[in-house]
Amino acid sequence: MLHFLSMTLSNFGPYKGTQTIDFSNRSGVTIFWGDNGRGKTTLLNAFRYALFGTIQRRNGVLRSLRDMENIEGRDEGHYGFSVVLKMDNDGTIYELTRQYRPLKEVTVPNSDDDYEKVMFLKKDGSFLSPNDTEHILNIIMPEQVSRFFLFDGELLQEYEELLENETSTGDRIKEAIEKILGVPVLTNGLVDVRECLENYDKLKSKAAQKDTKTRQFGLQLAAVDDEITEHSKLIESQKAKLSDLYKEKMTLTQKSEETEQVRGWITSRDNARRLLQQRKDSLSQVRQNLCTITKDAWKGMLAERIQLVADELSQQIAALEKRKQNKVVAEKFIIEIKKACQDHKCPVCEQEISDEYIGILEERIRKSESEFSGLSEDDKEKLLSLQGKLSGIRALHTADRQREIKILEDQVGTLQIEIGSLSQEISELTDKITKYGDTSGVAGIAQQLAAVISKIDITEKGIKDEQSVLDKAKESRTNINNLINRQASGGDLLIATQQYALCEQISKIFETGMTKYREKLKKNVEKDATEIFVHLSSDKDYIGLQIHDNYGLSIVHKSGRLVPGRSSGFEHIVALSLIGALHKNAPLRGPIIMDSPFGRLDPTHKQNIVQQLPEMAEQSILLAYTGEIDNQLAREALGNTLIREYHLVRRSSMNTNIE
Amino acid sequence: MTRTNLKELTDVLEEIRKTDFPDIPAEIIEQIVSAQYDNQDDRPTARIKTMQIVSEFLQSANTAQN
Amino acid sequence: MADDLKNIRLAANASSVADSILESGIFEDKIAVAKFALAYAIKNFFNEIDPEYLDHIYDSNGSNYNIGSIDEDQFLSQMILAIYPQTTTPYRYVRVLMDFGLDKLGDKLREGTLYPISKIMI
Repeated sequence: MLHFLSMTLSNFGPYKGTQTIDFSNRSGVTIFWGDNGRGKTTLLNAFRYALFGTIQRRNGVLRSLRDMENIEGRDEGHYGFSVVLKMDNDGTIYELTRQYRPLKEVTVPNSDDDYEKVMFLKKDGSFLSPNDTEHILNIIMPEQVSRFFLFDGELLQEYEELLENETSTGDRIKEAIEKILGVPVLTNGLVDVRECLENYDKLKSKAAQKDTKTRQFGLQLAAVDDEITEHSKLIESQKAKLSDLYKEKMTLTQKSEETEQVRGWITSRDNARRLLQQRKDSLSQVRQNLCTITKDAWKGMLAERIQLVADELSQQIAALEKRKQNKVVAEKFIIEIKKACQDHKCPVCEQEISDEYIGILEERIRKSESEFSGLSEDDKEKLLSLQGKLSGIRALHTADRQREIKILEDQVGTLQIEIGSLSQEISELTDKITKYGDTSGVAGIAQQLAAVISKIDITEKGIKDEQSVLDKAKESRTNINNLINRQASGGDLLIATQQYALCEQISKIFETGMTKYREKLKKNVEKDATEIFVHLSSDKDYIGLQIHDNYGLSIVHKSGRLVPGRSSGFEHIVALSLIGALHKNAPLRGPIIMDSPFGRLDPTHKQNIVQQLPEMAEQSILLAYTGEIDNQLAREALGNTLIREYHLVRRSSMNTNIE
Repeated sequence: MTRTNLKELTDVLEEIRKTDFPDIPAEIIEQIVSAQYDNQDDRPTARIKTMQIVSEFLQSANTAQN
Repeated sequence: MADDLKNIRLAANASSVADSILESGIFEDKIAVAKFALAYAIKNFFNEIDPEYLDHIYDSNGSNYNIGSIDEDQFLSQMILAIYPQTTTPYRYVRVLMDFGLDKLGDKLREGTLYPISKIMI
């Protein structure tokens, strides 16, 4: 178990001069209180720097180590910085020194190039070689698992990725968890034992070939071995290809998500352009139609006036024709009357007509002849002329095209409005796309992604088919092996067979062990995480945690359902539960250093976390800002597990004292 | 010699060994686990040590038989 | 008795108005605009127009058109002769009516009440 004893900082970050923190060799909790910007995260970085030589910024990577030099110290001519970390690992005392110092020949350093990085490790007072130093550090605190020891509460969202499959962060965390739990010991052990097994298999095969009884089988075995090697190699290369394809898929998926918006814009713009062209073509067509109609539409406007003239002419013609008709009728009547006068007899009743009456009738005849004289030559000419004019006017075709023109004008209006809107839309989208930057390749992402997914399917199927062939070959191998085993009666072949059998047993122990250990670990981690969780959580409806294959944890509701999605507060609590559970189950044990583990938790949850700290690790170091938790309540909750409290006190904006 | 902090892991392997593969001595498994654990940062060394352990065991098993 | 026109020359102002209206894209050419203007004039201002008087008022400084191309189907001349039976020079009247109509349409264009033209056809 690793335990930090003390840390000495020299001009590191805001810590001017040399300042030592004594953690004591007792188990328990050390609290550092400090306002924002006083150097709490820098303390976390001091541990990270000492152990791994790196500094981690929340907003990105540190530009240069030189940025960690204390500014006031530098102004006073004290260049560089150092961290000395004293620790106990299972009874062995180590003192790790890491320095960033100016090169010997440099008086006033100006850039990173003027500095050198120095590290040395003492074990029980004696200096270790660089190789041994590196080896020891990799064993007692591998960088890959540092996230479980140097815990930055601000970076908790990474743990949500454990619940998602196929994320690179999720994979890294899973790998780190398995590493801290010791799983690689088994997985690597199995790989190496299997290699031994292959070697003994080859020896057996050679022995079988030499032995007269089993020569034939030996040769068959060699042939099958070649086949197996070939297929295995093929599968390996296909798996490597598959891995690359998955990486490519992830990159493209990420790009696709990042560029979803701009692709949407590009698609919308292309559609708008297509539509705009259609509208323009339609407008052109409609205008053409309008022009065709307006060529003659003016005639329709004259219909009223033409009708008036036609009506006038018709009246005149009617009057003349009436006169003509009257004369025809009158003439018939006059002939009858004239005959009556001549015959002195009424043609109707055949009575005699007196001379007096004949005089009246002759007068009437003269009047009628005058009144119903019919049309003069001029009148006849006039009638003909009028009839001709009327006929001419009637021949003037005047279709009313007003309604058609209205429809077309309305269409023009609508199209112009649509064209305006589309042009505006295209302009805005073009603006957005231009602001985005280089869009070459964006449009093709969807097709690329589809192509990669298709390749993945084909490759997976290929691997499956190949695996099938491989399995058959292995089966055949086993059968041949069994025949050899039955035939092996002595000498080298028997020895080789026995050695192979033993080696196979060792391999099976590791193989089975790997599966069982993983299952056991997950059960234990789930159980321990649940125990910590129910102590930390104040929500009594949440009864525990359920672990997934990736070591992600879901909250279990009392109804048995898994709680989908959770607040950042509960994200904190679940992550802390996982860390606590890992510390309990890991072969690698050490202190937890927590920077701002409380986030946006309410006072109850904060209190619960403080109370649980001694259970989570043998040594806990807490970095909190003043007021983040109630210091009085914290002291009461921790009791005698609280070893020491430090305050990060401002001397100036570039100078913090650890008191 | 087993590290106490690897006990969980070695317990699992020991259970399997005892039940299914008693011909394999417990020490061999412990030695392989230690070789792997002590050389987590140095795969080549872990591999060589493991193969050595297996090879020495199989040689001695063969000698014992004879 | 005056001889009738063989070419119709619009007044400068009328010609300019026809140009502006042509830009709307509704009419195929200027003569279509002029005919529309003539019809508009007859429909709305028939009783006000004294073609004989106006014939001496309008200039001929605008676009020029041959009557053969304007009145291929003789509709114009037949129509003018029908509604103005007193005249024997229909194309003189056509010119006057076109100029008059274009003037009026020019007013509407300036007022912003010319379009849609379907509205003024009623």
